Amino acid sequence: MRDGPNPEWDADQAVTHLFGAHYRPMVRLASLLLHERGLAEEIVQDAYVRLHARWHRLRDTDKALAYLRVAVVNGCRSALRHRRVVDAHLAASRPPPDVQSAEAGALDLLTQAAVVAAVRRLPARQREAIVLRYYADLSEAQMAEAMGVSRGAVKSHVSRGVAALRLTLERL
Amino acid sequence: MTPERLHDDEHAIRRALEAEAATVDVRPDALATIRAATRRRRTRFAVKAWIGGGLAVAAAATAAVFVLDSPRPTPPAALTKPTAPTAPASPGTLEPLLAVYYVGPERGDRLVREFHRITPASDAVADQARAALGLMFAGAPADPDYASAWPAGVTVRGVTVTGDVATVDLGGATPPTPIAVQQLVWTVTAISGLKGVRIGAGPVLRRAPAVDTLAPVWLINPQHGEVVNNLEVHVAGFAGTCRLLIRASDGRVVADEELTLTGGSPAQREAQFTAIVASGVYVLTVTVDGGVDDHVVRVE
Repeated sequence: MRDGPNPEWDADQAVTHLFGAHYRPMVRLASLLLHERGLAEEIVQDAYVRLHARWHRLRDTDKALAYLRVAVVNGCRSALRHRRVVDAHLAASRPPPDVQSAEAGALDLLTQAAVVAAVRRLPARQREAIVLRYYADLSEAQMAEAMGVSRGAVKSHVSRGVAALRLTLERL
Repeated sequence: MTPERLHDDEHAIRRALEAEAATVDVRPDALATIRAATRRRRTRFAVKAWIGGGLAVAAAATAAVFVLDSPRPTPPAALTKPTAPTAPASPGTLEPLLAVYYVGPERGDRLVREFHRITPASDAVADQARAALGLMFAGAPADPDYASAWPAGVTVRGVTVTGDVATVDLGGATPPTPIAVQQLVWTVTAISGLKGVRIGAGPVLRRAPAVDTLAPVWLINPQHGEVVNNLEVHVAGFAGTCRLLIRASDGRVVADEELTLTGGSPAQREAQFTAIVASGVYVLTVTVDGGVDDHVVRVE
């Protein structure tokens, strides 16, 4: 399979190919931003439906992917704004400090759980910056586009986010 | 702050996010749902220039997999059309679709996943967990090569949820093997919002690493016994490449492809392949070093 859309494709073909290459990572990106899988998948599906309508204007690999990312980040922001229970949910999702796991590698899993919980507690822009940087592996320019902020702001959000997460890592 | 320390922290963040992301499953009918929505949109706006890609024709009919009316499933009849094929009206009104993990197909110590349609008693997380476990313990996977690691007769007496941990009352039944523990954990934590499981008053159990738990390769889509309009094959595995063999019912090889597994999660990669085939029954076999999975499907 090719990595990106071909300008000759029609909207259906473009959506099919972009689905194959990027759907699951997009859902995972949205899940990391939202901590809510069902809603994350709906937001990503909606982004693909919008992309379908927009394809005749995009017709370009990078533009189509960037469009999907913007739609997903905005969709997650909007969902978070409307989700009033988010704080209670976050509080409930913190890992118990002395969980006993039946499996080997439990310490590693606990570290991961603590980091993920700390990412969720970050302010929204810092969380976006951390997830786009360290999960989606985007460049600063791509992050700025996806988040709708300047590259300077991206740098600042990343460095503040990392500093906050470092506090969690130091306690482990 | 030394550069090494910064690097370690960044590495820890990256690994944690990747591991968390790897626990997120996607619905097998997602593409059909998107196509159904774009078709409606296109009809609404009547933009004739967009019509004729050919891809929209099949659309939503591939969505229904198995329609099960109660938590006690009847064994899915092979190659029968679901009794009530459902074209999801919109991404917001999907039929409930639950992931259930089984052991198989070749090894009794690795998990594979199937999606089943079932209507839980309510949308509550506890009821979803109860419905998924009902299917799991009933031990009737769609693929006869899959099985439950739990003995027959175990039933779920109750499920309660506190935070992100589900406590399951199995009436004193205990998991016979470590993989049975993981079968239960992966099935329950596939439900949004759940991270851990407690059996009775036992400790909180969490997912073991995917690479130590899941089968080396499996066919995500189409599922065994499914009736589809297009042969869109979706494979997950831990290798760099896999071999996909598609045979017609008379044994003729229709496709023999080496697929590159990419994306997905760092641990478990994926590949997709669309085969243009005539109507009929096909056997799909996917292999990697040390693993194989095959499904029989009908293309209409």
